[in-house]
Amino acid sequence: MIAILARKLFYACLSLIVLSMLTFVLVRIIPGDPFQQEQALPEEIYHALRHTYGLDAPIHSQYINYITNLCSLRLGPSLVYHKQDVAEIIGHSFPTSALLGGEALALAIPVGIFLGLWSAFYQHGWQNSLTHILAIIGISVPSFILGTLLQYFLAVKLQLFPIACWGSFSQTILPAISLGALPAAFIARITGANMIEELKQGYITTARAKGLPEYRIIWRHALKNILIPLLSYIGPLSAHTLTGAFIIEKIYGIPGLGYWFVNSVSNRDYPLIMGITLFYCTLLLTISLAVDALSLMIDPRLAKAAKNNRGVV
Amino acid sequence: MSRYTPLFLILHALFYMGCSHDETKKTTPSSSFTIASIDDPHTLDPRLMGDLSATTISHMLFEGLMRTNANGILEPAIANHVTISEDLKTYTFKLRPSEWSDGTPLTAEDFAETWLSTLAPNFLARNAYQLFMIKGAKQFKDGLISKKLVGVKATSPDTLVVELEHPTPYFLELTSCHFYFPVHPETRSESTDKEDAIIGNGPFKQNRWEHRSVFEVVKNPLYWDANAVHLDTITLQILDEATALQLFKAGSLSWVGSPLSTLPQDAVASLKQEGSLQILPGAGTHWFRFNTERPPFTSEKLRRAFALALDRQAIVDHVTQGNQRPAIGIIPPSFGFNHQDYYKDHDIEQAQKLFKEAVEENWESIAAMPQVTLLYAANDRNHKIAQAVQHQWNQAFNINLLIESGEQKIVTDRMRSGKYQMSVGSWYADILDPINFLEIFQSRDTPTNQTFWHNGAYTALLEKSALEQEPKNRLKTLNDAEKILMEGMPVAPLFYSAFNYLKTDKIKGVYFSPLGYLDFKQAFFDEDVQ
Amino acid sequence: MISPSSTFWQKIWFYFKSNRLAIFSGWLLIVFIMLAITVPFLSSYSYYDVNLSIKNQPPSPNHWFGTDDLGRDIFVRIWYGARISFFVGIAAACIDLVIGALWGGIAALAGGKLDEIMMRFVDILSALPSLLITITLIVALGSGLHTIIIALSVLGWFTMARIVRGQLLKIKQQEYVLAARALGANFWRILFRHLFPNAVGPILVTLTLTIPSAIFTEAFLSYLGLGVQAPIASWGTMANEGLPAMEYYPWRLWVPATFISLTLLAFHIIGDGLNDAITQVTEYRETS
Repeated sequence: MIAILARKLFYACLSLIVLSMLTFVLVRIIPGDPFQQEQALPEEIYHALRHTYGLDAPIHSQYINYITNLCSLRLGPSLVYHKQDVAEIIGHSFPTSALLGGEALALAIPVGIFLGLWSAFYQHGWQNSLTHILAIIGISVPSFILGTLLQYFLAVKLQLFPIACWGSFSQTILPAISLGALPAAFIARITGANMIEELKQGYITTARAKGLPEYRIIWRHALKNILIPLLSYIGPLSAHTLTGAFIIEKIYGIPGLGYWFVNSVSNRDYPLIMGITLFYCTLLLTISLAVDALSLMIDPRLAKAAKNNRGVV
Repeated sequence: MSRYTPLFLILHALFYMGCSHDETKKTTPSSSFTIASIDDPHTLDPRLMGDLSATTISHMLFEGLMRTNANGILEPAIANHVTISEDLKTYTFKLRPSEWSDGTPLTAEDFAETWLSTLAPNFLARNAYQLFMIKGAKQFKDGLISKKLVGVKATSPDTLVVELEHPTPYFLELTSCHFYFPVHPETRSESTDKEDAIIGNGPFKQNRWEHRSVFEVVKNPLYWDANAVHLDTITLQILDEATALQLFKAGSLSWVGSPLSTLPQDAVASLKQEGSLQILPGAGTHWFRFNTERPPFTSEKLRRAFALALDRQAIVDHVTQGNQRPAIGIIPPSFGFNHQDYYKDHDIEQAQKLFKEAVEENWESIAAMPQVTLLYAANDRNHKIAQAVQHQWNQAFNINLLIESGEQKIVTDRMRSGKYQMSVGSWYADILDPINFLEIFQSRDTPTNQTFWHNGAYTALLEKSALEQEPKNRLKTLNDAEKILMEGMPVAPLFYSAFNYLKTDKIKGVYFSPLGYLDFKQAFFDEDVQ
Repeated sequence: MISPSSTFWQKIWFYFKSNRLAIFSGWLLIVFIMLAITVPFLSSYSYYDVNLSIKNQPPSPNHWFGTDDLGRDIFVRIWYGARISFFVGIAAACIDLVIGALWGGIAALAGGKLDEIMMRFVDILSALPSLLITITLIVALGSGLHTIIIALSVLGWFTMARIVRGQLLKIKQQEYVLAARALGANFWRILFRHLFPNAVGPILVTLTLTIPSAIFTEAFLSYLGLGVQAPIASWGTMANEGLPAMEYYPWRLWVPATFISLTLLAFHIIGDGLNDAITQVTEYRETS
């Protein structure tokens, strides 16, 4: 199993390198410049600024420069926010996003899985329909509408929660719900659909014939078998949620990573875009590796299959 | 259940632990003022500032030779006495004793060295050109002469002597702006590559900065006029405009909207109706730029036709709704720049006549005229304006004008490279002098021009005005220049800007500059107001 | 009535018919589509007629859904926007389905190195900031509906690929696959004849989940200036524009939001109905 993971790690690093190159080139290709604004800049200053930040060097030498700095974990200064270090920006905004995302997931995963299993258990009953409707609400109402509505009705009108800002636990509740609704809905649907499929398998009939209660069958036996497709969905979802949803952060005034990132793209703040993208990718790949490791532990057959390096062709 | 329960419990426990340490206590002493801002300041160094958040902060943390007080009157600040020479070119400032917020004495040397550092050839300050009226400044910036020949000198620790290139009537006012603020020797030495805090000499000093969240200042006890300062704390809260409005209505904010943020466009009308909307004329003009080197707007008549066909009153009444005033010239009335009306708003007859003539002269028929597209940066207000004027022009001329929105930077890029026909734009003055608007069109390649319009007579008049000694003559020359500009119509003015904001009734004594910054030195809470 | 000689899809239709909710949803969508086609022609208002003096009016006999902030009739704009939303949602989802299913399917079946490379590729691409990709596409292809659809497709196929792959990985171990291999069936035959049909359930579910995602990403992009050009609007852009006005002119938000929800509900119910029908047919087939 170690060997498998080591190989995956190698590929992960390779991916990171490819990604850094892609992003690096992409940001410099698209039109728009970090320094020009609506009220334009004198030409000499514009060129001098580009020179100071090394933007007039040929692109491959810029890239090499960037990678060299990256190795000593220096992500460079922001081009827009004077003398603010990219690594520091990520350092103080990621924990905020992670907390928000973590709370959202802590809500979404249990709720989603529970609803999914519940609806599979009562496949033909009202429970299934109810879950469907809840899931659809979660999916068809986009996070910015849900966020605004929750804020308006629960915080502004009923004053049950703080309206915005970040710092106390009560300020995290509404954003977490707004952020977690969509994942919960997805998870509920996927769990439900997979479980219903799973319950048709032969071994389930056997278990039922043996007299096992339905809930036990689902919880103890069937759940394990749907964990893998579930995990392969939850993995990337976690990475995405943990890095903050820009819209939720905007609505609730949360100083998270998502907000910095979207603004950095609008501002064409190259080092910040690169820094956050690489950070996000590293996170994503780490979580993917973790998911793979977990999958291997759950289903030993996968390890065997991978070890034999089998394919059909 | 048993296997997973501990995991969930641990996760939840972690969250609770992580969250509960930072309960923000909601004790709001009455001398604590909170204002919403749309973004962090991009820098704290007054020499480099460009955004409004930073400018307002600079007026809290710093003070210049002069200051505009709460009644809008320019008064001496760090300088307690000014002498102006006969030829209006030499200013002698006598400084009062004062300190930086870390206790170091503030001297004339600080002013001189700061200005010289801004003008240093390698120093990349956007605003350096604001100091070019100082003798030798531009040459020094271009690396042609040495520092010693620039016309600013600290002849003694409390005397600053400034020599100007030509008489500049608004120079004193300039010294109250952030371009002319002093910075601490430590800031000047560029010793750190981090800028999380800065030492200033103003009525407030920096207390706390949580990036993209909160920027807070407290009263500076070492400020020379600390007795006149009433507020204890000022907090900038970085928020989205809709959320900020909600917080204001709930009482958690004292000020929302211009200049540091915006009010949601859809809310403006009803806020005006309830009577809570504050309105202040601004020093900016919104207009449509024409690319005069690209068909069809190579035709001056066509440009004038489009300008005349606009129903500005309708836009102001129904789209922006913030009591902006229809623009019938380039320069906002708040400048006190006397000009006659150059045209009538919504003059359809004249517009159609000009249109017909333009078409006949250039393309013979409408069908042969190139398709016109209006380019604009995507935001709520521009979407509405663009759609409204599209309708107006299509109705007026029976054409099919298209509108095209783009992301802000893409639009800026296209305008710089001339890849557009017509676009939505604006100009907000840096200083309260008409030249600030007129010099945009000084030459074809002025960075802010982007219309590629130029006119020899116009440029000559602007240059002449720079040499005028007598303010009245100067204004007349500028007036003449404006006339030429309005004939050429490289831009079609739309409306003059207005600041729309909400503030709690309790706050008084805040100076709101037409240039878009707030001065809180003399602000206070009037507890008698309900 | 069905018999052992009915085709697969005839059988599906038989079971589907009996799901009354699904049929109702189907009719709802058909009604929406018909209205989308006819109303803009029949209405006396056009979707782009700006009339500032009647802006922001609540629903009335003259304007069944009220007017928007530029005085345009919302009823006609809803049905014009329906065209855009339906077109964008369905087109993007279909493209996602084709690309994603093929990609995930090939990866799952091939296994080994190819699988790893393909999925790593997916991981890399899905990590690229979507905003960046969208802006690049807009610049390369110009703004407009086709670019939006391409952008949405590019951004959306990853989930489909992952789900399909996850699903197929499970099925791959089944005996009938082993049997097919033993009989010498080639790669594509196994993929299309054995694996895909048995994964149709989750694939359909994911499809019905991709359509709303496409519609809303479109709204978000449009609002940033990267989408359909005004005065054309989709339901998403209308909801987006109605959001800040929620307190003052609520119908501008609720009308498009309701239509969006109803449409998505309908798609979901139909997707589920299909899923149920397919399972019943495969069970029937297996037990007979």
